[in-house]
Amino acid sequence: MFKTNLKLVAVSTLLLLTSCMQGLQNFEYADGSSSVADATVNLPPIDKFFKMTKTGDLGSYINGAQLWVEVTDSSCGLTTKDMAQPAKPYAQNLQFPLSLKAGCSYKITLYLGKLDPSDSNKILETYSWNNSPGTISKEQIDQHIANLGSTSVASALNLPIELAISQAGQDAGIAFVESTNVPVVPTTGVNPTGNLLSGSTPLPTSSVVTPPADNPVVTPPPVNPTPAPTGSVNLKGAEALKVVNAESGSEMNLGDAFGGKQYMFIVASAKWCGPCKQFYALINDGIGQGYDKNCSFAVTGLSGGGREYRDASDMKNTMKSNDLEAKHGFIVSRSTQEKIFTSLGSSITGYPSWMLVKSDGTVVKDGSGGFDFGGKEMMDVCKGGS
Amino acid sequence: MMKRILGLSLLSLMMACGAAATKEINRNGNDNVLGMGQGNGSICGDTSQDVSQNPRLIPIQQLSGSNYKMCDIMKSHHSSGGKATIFQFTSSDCLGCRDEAREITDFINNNNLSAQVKHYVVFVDNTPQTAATIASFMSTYAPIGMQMDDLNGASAEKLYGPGDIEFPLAMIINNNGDFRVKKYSDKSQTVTGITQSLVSSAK
Repeated sequence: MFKTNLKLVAVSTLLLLTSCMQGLQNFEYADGSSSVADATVNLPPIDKFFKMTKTGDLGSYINGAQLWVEVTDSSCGLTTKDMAQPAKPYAQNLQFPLSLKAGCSYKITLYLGKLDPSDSNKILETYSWNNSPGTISKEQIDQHIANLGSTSVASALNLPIELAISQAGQDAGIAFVESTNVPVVPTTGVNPTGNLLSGSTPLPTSSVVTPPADNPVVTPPPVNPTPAPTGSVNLKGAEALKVVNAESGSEMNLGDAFGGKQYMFIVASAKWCGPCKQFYALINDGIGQGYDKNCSFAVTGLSGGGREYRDASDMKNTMKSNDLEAKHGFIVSRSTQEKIFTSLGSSITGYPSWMLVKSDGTVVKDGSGGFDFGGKEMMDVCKGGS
Repeated sequence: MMKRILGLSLLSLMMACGAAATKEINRNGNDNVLGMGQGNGSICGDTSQDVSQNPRLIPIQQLSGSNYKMCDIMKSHHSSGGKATIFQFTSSDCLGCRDEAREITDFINNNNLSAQVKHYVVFVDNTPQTAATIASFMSTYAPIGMQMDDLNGASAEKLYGPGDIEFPLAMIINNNGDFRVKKYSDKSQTVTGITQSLVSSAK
């Protein structure tokens, strides 16, 4: 807790310095109008961005990939597609210059994709963030600018990500920020449906961004706090991801699933995936042979119904019918499952995928996209042989 | 006496043939869903039957959007000399299906069966988001296969029968109308083993 506070103070200081250095700049829309309170706008600190960017290097999955944003203006018939430079760290450069027009609504989607090296216009593989971010209007963006630091338009709109307006350098732009905080009920400006509240007055400059002049160092409120590691487990952020245990139906942090062991064998599985059940047998056999001496096991199963698991009890039944105790199963959303792997520098290229990871976040074996277990070698680690 | 023995033999033979034509195997715990059968020369069999009893009638979609029954695709293949057709149902991110597709490809190539055996890969999740993955799947694991769609997975679910569907899932038909549904949980045979058998019993 103390460490977290220190971190927040440090982040706050950084914000203040950045704020002072950037000064006042106008944010102009395509119609020439200006937004309010530009001066308070700053990018959040790096660790508030997408978790997969937290390490500063997106790892093998991002190799050759690009991140871009697509902005569709359905109401005014405009489409903007700006490609981001594949610079790293992405988190500091995730800005997309845009011209927004008053009276239009914008749907903003973030994509991660791989491009054909020989043809940059050919997209080989794409991944768009789950849950379409929805639409947001210029007015709401203005309101967000006004409220930035005290509340979140994105949260108010129930978006999976926060939207922050940035003025890095001379460019106005949009930055996407992972929304890990519980949505704050806005006290001004924006109601929970995202509509402007009539008669509301935007908050004054946030204490996060603009401190009193005589007290330049303030402790910011815990907006998007970096989740504290669970115990001694540090999975580069993945330890704090919420999972639901198939046996108990209780929500917990992934890090808690370590259960004091040194290693965890993490499997990405899906209900429709027949071969994923091979892992059930492997784990069951391994536990019977003492492989749980050093290892815990986390079989993550996709939720969503249909061909996926309906809920924890559905996964529990499937696991039990495959002779594996449901306490090793965890229901997760697709985005959480992806984050578990990407946080650790891996990826899910198909089902099943797996990793053997140490409690300090070191990936001992990465089996994403294949059945090649590394078999005995890997299990010997679990048994304490090496 | 001889006539009586002959009559009984014929009766037994007829019963045996009848049993073969309607033989049911347990398809996902439901005895009322047919998982294999003989066509006795009719590729589509009794077209008045429900697809639970005659899965050859289950439609799949060409990339053009046209729907065809699997047995009609086999008919078309037969008209150009084909003996068997493999319909491999898959999700784009199913690694086991990729492996199976590669096995099928190797089986066809290594046995010079490309004129006799057609391989269709039927995707249940073809969307703009998965298109690149599917293209990679096809070019890497099923380069001599043809892509088909089952956009909402309804055909795959009919083929699988009651219960929770699992992939890999395949249907193999020959030009005699003999067919076999291969589920992942059925480890008694492989898709290529079944195909080999159905090629052998083809016309």
